[in-house]
Amino acid sequence: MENDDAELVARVRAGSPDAYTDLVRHNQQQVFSILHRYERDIHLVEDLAQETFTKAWRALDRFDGRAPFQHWLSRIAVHVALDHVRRRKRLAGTIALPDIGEDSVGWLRDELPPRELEGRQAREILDLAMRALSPAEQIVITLMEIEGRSVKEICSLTGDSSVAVRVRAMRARSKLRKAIEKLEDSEHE
Amino acid sequence: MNDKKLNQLFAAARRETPPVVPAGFAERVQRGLGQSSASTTTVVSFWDQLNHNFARYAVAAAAMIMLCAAVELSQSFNHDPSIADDVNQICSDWMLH
Repeated sequence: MENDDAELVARVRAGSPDAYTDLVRHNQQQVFSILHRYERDIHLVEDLAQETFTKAWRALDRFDGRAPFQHWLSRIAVHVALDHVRRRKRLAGTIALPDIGEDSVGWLRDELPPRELEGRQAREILDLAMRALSPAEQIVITLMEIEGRSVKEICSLTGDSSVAVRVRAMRARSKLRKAIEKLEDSEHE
Repeated sequence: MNDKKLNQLFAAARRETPPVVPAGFAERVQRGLGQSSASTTTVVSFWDQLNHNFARYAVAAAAMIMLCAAVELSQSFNHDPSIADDVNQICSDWMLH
């Protein structure tokens, strides 16, 4: 896969724009998976993915091949996601809070065994609770706890120092805990 | 909310299936790139620029004419030689030279 990507990048640089379509096809699932962690609306995810690939195309001259193309592209996708979360945060006052499904409410009230909580329901709760976090904290906690990436990987993707990543992750966990407690209390009322 | 519950929440979120990429996405990206590069390479002709800035040029020209007329008028009130007299003088000097 890595060799395929390197070969396709070489073909794009040699003046074959169609090779970029193949490059997009090779990496589109990975980019959608990253972006979907920060945005549930599939149409918006598609827009963000398009933005990611457009930015990658424009910056292709700066890709030096030291890291795999996939990693380089992931870094662009994470920055596109960060910009998106920042924009959404600015508009947060004008957007209505999404409704949480009954099953998610049941889990919050400890009425549902943990095993029965689906990914979608967990996302509903997390999306709501994450509004208490700063955009940078949202990115770090998602990369660490949901994507399961190491501190070193997160540093490489975000450009932050390892101390900054650890501090943000700790702060994010604490804020999330409080936000979910608040959510539990509001659901009990 | 204890740590265990928060970890259960993360574990459940990890199980969420990623979305399916819509068909033809790569082609749409390619089309978008084609359009953006086409729009950035569009050549703007001299006449297009002139047309675009026509209103500004017209205002600038009108302001210049009004300024000249005002100077001419003020000089004629002060009985100073007007700009037209000066120009005539320069022309005749140059012709006789």
